[in-house]
Amino acid sequence: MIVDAGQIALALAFIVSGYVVLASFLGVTRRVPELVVSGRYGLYSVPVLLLVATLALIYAFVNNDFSVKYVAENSSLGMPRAYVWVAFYAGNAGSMLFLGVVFALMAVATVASLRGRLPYTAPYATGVLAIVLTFFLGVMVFLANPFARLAVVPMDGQGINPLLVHFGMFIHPPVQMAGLISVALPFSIAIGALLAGKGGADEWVDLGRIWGMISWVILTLGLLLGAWWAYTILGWGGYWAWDPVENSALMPWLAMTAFVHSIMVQKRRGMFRMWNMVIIIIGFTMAQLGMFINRGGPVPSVHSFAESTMGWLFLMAMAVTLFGSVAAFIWRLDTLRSRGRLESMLSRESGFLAQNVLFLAVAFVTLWGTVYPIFSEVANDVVVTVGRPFFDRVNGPLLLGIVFLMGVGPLLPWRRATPRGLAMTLRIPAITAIATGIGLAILGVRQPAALVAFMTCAIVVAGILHEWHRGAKARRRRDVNPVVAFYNLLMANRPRYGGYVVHLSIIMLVAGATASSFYSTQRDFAMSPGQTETLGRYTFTYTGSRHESYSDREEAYAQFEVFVGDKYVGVMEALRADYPTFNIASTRGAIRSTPLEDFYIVPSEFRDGGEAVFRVLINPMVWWMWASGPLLVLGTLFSLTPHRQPSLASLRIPASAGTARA
Amino acid sequence: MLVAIALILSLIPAAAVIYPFVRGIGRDEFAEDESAPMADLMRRWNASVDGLRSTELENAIGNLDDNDYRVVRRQLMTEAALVLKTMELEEAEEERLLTNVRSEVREVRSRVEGATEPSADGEGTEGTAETEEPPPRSP
Repeated sequence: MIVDAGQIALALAFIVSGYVVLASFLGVTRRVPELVVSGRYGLYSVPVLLLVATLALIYAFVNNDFSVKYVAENSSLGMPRAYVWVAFYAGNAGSMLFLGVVFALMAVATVASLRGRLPYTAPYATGVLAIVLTFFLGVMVFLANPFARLAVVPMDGQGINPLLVHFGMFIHPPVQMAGLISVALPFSIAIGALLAGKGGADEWVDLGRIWGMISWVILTLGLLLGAWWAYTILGWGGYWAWDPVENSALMPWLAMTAFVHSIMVQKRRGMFRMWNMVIIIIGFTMAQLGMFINRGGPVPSVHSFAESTMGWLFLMAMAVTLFGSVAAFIWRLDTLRSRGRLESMLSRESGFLAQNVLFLAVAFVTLWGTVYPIFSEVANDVVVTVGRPFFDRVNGPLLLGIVFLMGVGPLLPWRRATPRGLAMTLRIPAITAIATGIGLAILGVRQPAALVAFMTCAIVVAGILHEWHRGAKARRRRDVNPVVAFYNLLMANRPRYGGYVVHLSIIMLVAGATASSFYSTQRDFAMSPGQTETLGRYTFTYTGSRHESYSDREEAYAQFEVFVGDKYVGVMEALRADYPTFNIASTRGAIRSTPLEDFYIVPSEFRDGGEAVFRVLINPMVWWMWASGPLLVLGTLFSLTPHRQPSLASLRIPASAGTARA
Repeated sequence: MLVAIALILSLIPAAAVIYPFVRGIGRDEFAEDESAPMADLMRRWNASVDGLRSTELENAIGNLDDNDYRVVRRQLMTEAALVLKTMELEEAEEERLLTNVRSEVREVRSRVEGATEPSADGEGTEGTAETEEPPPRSP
């Protein structure tokens, strides 16, 4: 009965969501305010219904109700109970329900923030959000019903995909899915403004920026968590493989990163109005492409879970959205002329523009590499996959250019800068970069690409720290205490200094990725119990293994005693689990992580007689990549906190004074 | 039982979508326009203030030399002054239009009342109406 309640709630949510589309568009075009409010309130009721559906599905999982097809496909009696939540979104239908409920909640928050501030844009944005929601709910009701029943109830279910049995799965997929769908929030505000004819005076920019940044931070966290999951469970010692599913999450992230920067130019200077519309349309199109590739797109990927045959439906939805957005853009093109103009090529606006172009270049290179197998198959009847060397070679220099602009751009003032002024500002960062290069070369970092990357990172860090120092020094004319001066400096311009914190976290990420890409050491060892081997400064002894049997898997744990030089650092344990039903082996590396390097052991094979094969890696500076996540969230939240402008009333001279003002 | 569940669940969205019609909520939904001249001027004012603030900071920390600082500051001050002046003109224009409308209403009312209810001594209600309105403010 509870499952039936979930089914009914889902169907009702679909009907109400369709009503919201009609009520919002009709209400605003016919100027019937009650209809607009009715549509909005209808949208507010959708998450309630979807939460009922969600609880019903969780109830079915908790009670092992294998009469529900989705539960039978994604759960089993032997599955750890904690993973019921993971199983909920492990398959296609469940992940759609998860997406639906998360998106409905985010849509309600967006519409609530628009109401009152953008009264004419809000109904259109509500309508656009409801179209997206109706699509997801329609797919669930008609094609991928999570509550569909089986004619014959099995005794046990198939169980969850073994690769998903990992702590990271509680966070990574929800955040990743939420990130992709959250791009619809700033998109709906932008398109709502276009449809309402309100795009010409930057009306939507403040809220578009806020929701754009929220979407960006969720996407970033999704990518980071995905990399962390791959690093710890996939057992190849890496975190990024330019796999199509990874790329599909990276592309909207690149577009959104460009968007959250260029929207600042529109806010400040009334420029880039067309450009921002184009970027947000590209961003949402790429997010939809990501969902298409995630859901059984034609590109081969290591991410096979949640696969379905519905990919083409998502592709069609993407095509329709793109066509509609471009039509709205062309229709309102005349309202999108810039208020300001680019006064100098040496200005922050120019820096943002150059960085935007590079971001989009990386996005399109990634897109090309991702979809190339389709073209090669159509053209030559042979699937040619594009591998890591292509992406590294083409995207590497472009990404380095972005990092360089990340260092130089914020040091450029708005409107104009002189070459002499810029040279003066860049003096300290440039000296620091050269010193870093020399220092690293002395320490043995000799690969030119790595050296250039580290020197570019040094420019960014030195630029930020130097500016903080100069800013605090300037504030000390007013605040005697240097700590108070620094605090007041940060509080006075939160978007700017929050952005710097985010930049620092990105540098941690870039430094970690550079060091681990260029200076990772890897070797395979066949070891018998008691055998000792050495890699780098690590000496490790394989002390033996223990085996545990479960109804769905065989687990083998290998233990090592590890020394750094002569110093004993402890016991490390690596796991390999074989799932005969799925014909899949899942591994969990034993990782000793320090800011300097990770020592990583992963079992490849357990042979008869106690011998086993292990892959052992030393990955430098990977710790910094995972540490960058919290800093990134902190910086984004800080930059989003509102600050008060001086009130106009305090600046105006009373009319009774009878003097000219301003 | 299923019918009862369906009915209970339907009540949630039904109440939500019908409520605005029953209570007449939303009549002032479009009272404010985000593209109204004052809203636009307010955004431009905020942008100018932000610009002045960051220009001062850029100059203080040495990113912007004194000559450029003076030029940019003058541009931003001019923009801010222009916005303030335009706001005043907007307000004055609004006030003037309002006064015109009021006097036209008064005129029409007195004409209508004079035509339908002529008093014996020839006095209308115009004098009373006039005392209700504040004196017009010069722009």
